[in-house]
Order: sequence, then C-alpha cells, then structure tokens
Amino acid sequence: MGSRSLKILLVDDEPELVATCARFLERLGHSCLSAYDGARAIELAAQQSPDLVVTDLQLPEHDGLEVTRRVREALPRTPVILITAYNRPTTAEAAFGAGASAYLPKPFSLADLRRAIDFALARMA
Amino acid sequence: MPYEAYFRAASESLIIVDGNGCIVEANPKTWQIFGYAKGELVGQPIEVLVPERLREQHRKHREAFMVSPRSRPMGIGMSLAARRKDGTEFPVEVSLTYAPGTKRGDLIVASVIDITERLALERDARRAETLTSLGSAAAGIAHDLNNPLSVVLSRAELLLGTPEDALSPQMLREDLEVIHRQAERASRIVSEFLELSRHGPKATAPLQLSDLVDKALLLMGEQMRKAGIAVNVALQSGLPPVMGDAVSLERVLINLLSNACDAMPRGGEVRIASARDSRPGWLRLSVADNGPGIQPHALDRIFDLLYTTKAGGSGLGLWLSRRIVQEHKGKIEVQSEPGKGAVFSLLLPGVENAAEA
Repeated sequence: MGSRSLKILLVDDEPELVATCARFLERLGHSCLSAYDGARAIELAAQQSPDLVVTDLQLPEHDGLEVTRRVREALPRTPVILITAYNRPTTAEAAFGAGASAYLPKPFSLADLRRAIDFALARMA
Repeated sequence: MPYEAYFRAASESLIIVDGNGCIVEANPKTWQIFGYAKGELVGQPIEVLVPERLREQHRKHREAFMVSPRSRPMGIGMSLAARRKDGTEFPVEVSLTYAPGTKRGDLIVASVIDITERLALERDARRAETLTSLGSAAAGIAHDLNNPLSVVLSRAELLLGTPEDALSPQMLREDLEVIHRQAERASRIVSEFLELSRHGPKATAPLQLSDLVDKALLLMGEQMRKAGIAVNVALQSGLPPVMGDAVSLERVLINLLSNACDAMPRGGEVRIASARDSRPGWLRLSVADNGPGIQPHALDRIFDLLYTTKAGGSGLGLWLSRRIVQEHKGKIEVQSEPGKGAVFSLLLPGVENAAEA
C-alpha cells in the first residue's frame, strides 16, 4: 500500500468485522472511520472525504451498491471496494456497474483485503 | 336397471353391508382393489377388509353408527387403513350412506377410495416445497455463515500476525471471546438449518401447556434474568392437553422468548399466559413483551423464511416456529404496534378436539 497513510471508511452491519478490519488497517498506519448502515456511510463520506471506502453489500438503510454509487458521485478520486457474503457472478457485475474498483467475497483473509486495497488504489492512479 | 349398471361400473369400490356388518354385495372395483375373486366377499364380515389390529375398533364404530345412522364421511382427517386378501394394507377414504327399509332390511353402502397415490403426491408436493425452500435457504444460510466466519477468520489472522511481544493476555482474551461468540453463532445457524431439513417422524403425546412453559423457562430463565427481563406467568389451570411433540413445541416457545429478549436489550417484561381461546376446543398460549413493538411493514413478513430485522439474525426462527405449529394443526399469530410491545400467540387444538383438527 506504499507508505501513504490513508483515511479509510469501513461499512458493514457486523460491528465485530468492522473492528477487526480497522485494527488491521490501523496497524498498517491508516486511520479508519466506521459506519454500520448505508445512510450513515453516505453521510460520513460526505463529511470526511475518505481516501478509500470498503463497504459490505447487505446493509440496513441503503445497500452497498447505493453507497458505492453515491460515493463515486461525490468523491470521484475515492475508490470503493465492495465486500459481500453473497458470492455470485451477478453480484460482481452489479458491483462494477455501480462503480466499485474491486470486489471481495466473504469470508476473506486480511491479506486478501490488503491486496484488494492495493489493486483499487492502483486502478485509481 | 340403471342402479345395477352403476354399481357394476363404478370407479370407486362400493360395498353393501347389513345391520350385522355382513357384506351383502360388493362391486367389481371392490374385488379389484382388495384382491378378491367374484362372489368371495358376499357373506363375509366387513371387518375382513380391515387390518386385524383395527377390527375391534371398527366393529365398535359400526355399532355406534347403527345406533344413530346417517350418511357421512367416515373419519375425515383420520388415517384409515384397509386390508387386501393377501394381507397387505393400503390407505383409504371411506364414506357411508345409510339405506334403510330395503328388501334386505336396513343397509349401509360404503364407498371406498384407495388414496395411496394421492398421499404419495401430497408427500412429494410437500417435499418439493421443502426442497425449494431449502434451495433458497441454502443461499441464505451460506450468506449467514459467511459473516461469522469472516470475523473468525480475520480476527484469528490478526492475532497470528501480531508479534509475540505485542500480544497481551487481555488482547488474547478479548479476541478469543469474539472468535468464540462468532463460532457459536455459526453453529446455531447450522443447527437451525438442520432442523429445517429434518423429515423424521416426531413423537406425539398429550402435553400440558404448563409443562411446556416450565421446560422452556428452565432453559431460558437464567438468560432472561441476566438480561434484566422480568417473567410473569399466568397459566389457566384445568386446561386440556394438546397432542404433539414436546421438543418441537418447546423449541417454538424458546424461539418466542429469545426474540422477546432480543427486542429488549435493556431489560423489560415478558408475560406468558395460557387460556381457552374464544374458538371452542382451542387453546391459546401467548408470549407478550413490552419492547419497542414491530413496525407495520415488518408485521406481514415476520414469519417469512430468511426475513430478519436483527443484525446477525438468521431469519429462520419464526419460519420454523410457524411450520412446527402448523404441523400441530395450530396457528401462530402476532399482534403489535410500534411502541406498544408485541404479543405472539400459539393457537392449538385441545386434545378432545385433536381428531377433528
């Protein structure tokens, strides 16, 4: 991920998963924001202009696709990674259609997450 | 004579029996489905067409019928078994017509239909419905399992990636607790899914609602106390039992209590009550909470498979509960308004009514 410290917005309705990813990313030198529903995610993105958004697909109040679309609209330089437990080809299609830079099916390893982030940032550069 | 022609050609089995239960006449369809030759059945007691173990019961039934005879279907809802000449059995539906004052006295005409195929079709339809549900449930289950598994996987990875000198006992303990909790959640989802696919025959016995409540509270009581939930029990005494499988019905009650707990994370009150329902012969067991209540749009969907309003909910509990209650010939209802808690009621037939349910 280079030496750049990123502000990363993590969105998932599973608080324990968000906490785990946050700890991992903070260890790598980044700072993390958390949201547990789509509405809050969109709000935080607008307020805080994160460098990267990692969001689950299934969320209360606006799903991950909506979050992806809104973030891409408001912050064109911010890549979005979509994570999901619904691992189907159509989901990947929908993810990229909404503007996601990368798609990560659950369960994923933290190494996978890191690779996905590198990939998403490279695409945006 | 047209009636004779009808009798001979009828596609259901027709058997004419006299007041003593003796077969006066049987039509060709009867010989066919029971495996007898022409004329063999005339003069035989009707009980020869009934499995031995059921003959006494059948005789009593017949005698009771003669006391107040009227045309009616026999034992709707009861499984009736018939016996062929070779001793094999098959399921049937029987209807009886009373024909008094004939040349041969007061007669009963029994019409018998072999329902083997229909029962098989019904069973297949039920199974197909379960498989379809299972198919879509499988996708939902996979999704539900992926969430706790993600946490287990990534949290363990995090720990493994932590240099030993940075691993504090407190960190280890907290992380292990998270991993443990998520693994338990995953295994709960698996066992609920297994419950979904179980076809096994269930035990059926007369059960007292009060015993079901006692057992459920034995299992849930501690958890509810810890959650700050006061339990109020108001069980009417002298209620008839219900016929059913204690384990399944307890499961339903536990599901309702568990949902009430989840609805009131900061404590509250749960009231369990049993009483006769306004419908005669029916009993009502209700679980009421004073939590936030259920939104109107959720009320319609709350029993749907995989519908859940809980983060981390499986969407199986109420669907399974409804299925179990329906298998017991009962109904499950919910009444709720936002801000006014929720009441879930189980309606079950009392045992005097079970045969007609």
